[in-house]
Amino acid sequence: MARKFSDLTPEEVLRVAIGVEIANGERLRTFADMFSQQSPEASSVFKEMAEEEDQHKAVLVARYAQIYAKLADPLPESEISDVLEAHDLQDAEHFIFDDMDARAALKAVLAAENVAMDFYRRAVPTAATDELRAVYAELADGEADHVRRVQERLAAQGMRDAG
Amino acid sequence: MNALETIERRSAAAPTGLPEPSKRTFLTGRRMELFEKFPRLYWLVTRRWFQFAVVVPNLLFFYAFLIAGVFGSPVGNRNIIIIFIWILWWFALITALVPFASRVWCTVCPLPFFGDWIQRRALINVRTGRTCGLQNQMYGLNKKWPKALSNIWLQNIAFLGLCTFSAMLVTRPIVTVWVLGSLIVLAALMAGVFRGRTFCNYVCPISGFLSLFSMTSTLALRSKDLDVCAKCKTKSCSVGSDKGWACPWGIYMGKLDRNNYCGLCMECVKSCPNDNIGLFLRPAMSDTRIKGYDESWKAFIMLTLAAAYSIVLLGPYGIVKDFANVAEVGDWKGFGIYAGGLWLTALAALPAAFAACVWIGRRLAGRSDLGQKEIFLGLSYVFVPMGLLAWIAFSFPLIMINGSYILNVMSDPMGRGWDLFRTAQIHWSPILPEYVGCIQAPLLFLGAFYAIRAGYRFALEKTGTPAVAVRLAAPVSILVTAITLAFLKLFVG
Repeated sequence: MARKFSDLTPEEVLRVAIGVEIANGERLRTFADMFSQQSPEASSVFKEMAEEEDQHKAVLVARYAQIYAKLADPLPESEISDVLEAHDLQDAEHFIFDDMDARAALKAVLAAENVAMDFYRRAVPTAATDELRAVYAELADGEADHVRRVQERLAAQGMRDAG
Repeated sequence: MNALETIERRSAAAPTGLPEPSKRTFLTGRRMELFEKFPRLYWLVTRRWFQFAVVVPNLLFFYAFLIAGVFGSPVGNRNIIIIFIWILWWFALITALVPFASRVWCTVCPLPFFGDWIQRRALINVRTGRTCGLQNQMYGLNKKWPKALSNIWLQNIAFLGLCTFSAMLVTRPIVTVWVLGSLIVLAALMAGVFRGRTFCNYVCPISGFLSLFSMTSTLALRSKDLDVCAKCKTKSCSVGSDKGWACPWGIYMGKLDRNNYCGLCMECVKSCPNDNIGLFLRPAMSDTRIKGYDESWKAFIMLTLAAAYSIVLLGPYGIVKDFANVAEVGDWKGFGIYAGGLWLTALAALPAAFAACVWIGRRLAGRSDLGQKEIFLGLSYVFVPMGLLAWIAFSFPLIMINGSYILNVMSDPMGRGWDLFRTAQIHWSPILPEYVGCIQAPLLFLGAFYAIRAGYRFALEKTGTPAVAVRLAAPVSILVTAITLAFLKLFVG
């Protein structure tokens, strides 16, 4: 049975965060593939964002190695009952209404990043130990940075659409 | 996340006292998951041969009807294609299948059979491979349907057009053959050019109203747990797998919160790697989100047509009957008046009256900050339950008055003097005609109740204050009441 996020040790929290980044990369590549014909511009946004997730993963792996040791294996998100960050489509009917474009793709990514940021932020005051609190806070800051970058990208896309 | 999305978190205490993992779902209120309740049903729909097995008998009947239409009697009530399709099928569809089984007709519909084969080159098995982002090998050109037509406007116009000439369609077998034959050819041609069920999504005139009225249905195919869908990395419901075809309708189950475009083909039940698709029994009128003007106009068209058919086929106005029945009477000027009135009411007068009600409601509520479009779309849902119940009320007398013809044509499907089951000579006798009004009136009131309730609930969701919500929804509720009373006058005098 899947464990609750709050039951994890600090070391496991980092491992699951890495697992989540890996899963998100896979999900975003699935979306890129899915919309390759329907909306090439959305597809390339999803691809770009998948690469960003790979970078997030690399940062977390480096941080893990700094604190603990070389990462043996990430903790798959499927072992956690909570949804920390799962990039998902915002609507069931994107294909039917042909309304998936770069902007919609970025909004979908932003929604997931916001969920992750809120999740870690809410976790900070509930942490049982100072060490755990520090890990949560660091992850929350990392997600806040992702949110900011996607927002910037969205604003640039808005200007591109308007111009 | 959509503003109107309703997410309910279910938590239950396990016998040990530990909380069970909660499940997020779009379904609210009481519900029953039928696959859990009836494992044999789950077994059945997960067989690869399921859809083939239910479509083929229907296809055979369909072709038998077409043959009867071509070679049988040209008199409508002596030909099985007219009686079975426009009386029996229509009655079953509108009074039972749509309200209680959503788009289950699409599960068994014979029209896309050849189109599906053109795309899949398989009747039962799945082909794995890679086609335009899908995990299935597909054939045909797999072109993308134009964005400008990615809505139901074509269906709206096609259905209104067909219904304008319905006097010919429902009385002349050969006209029915032409229309249905054309649809099957068009479905196959479009499947060869465009991806998935483009024909069903955007062109099929039947699919258009099924889409709208399926929102009222007590049956819904949904994700059992949205978190499982969110975590899913393959999205096999959308892109297919070695277990099932990619959703031919283009739906992603992880966010499906309304029935409109789900044709219940059950491919997602087969392809889901997490066994996370459930078939739910739920309260009627559960989906309430109208997404665009095309869907609102579909509701206006359906309500107008229910009124027009009731006037032409059940009403006491002989002159209107003559106008509509241009093929028999030949009064083209009268037909022009009838057709013009019908189109004007459906496309302009009713929407204009409704838009005025919305505008007045916003003023009465003092909430001009709420956008006219947002409130227009949201409140236009009131015509969905109302329209469906008006159609059901219209359809009861059809079967009660003409039901005995069904027995006749079963024995003599072509009107050639056969008597296969010794029912060909049964005399025409209406079934309890004196009770027609007693059935129609409660149906109309039920439609008005659901409509007014839906309008108020939407207004409350938008305003958050009961008194303000009442004012916002009041003009539309008055319009609903007025239309209901007009139907009542028409049906029961």
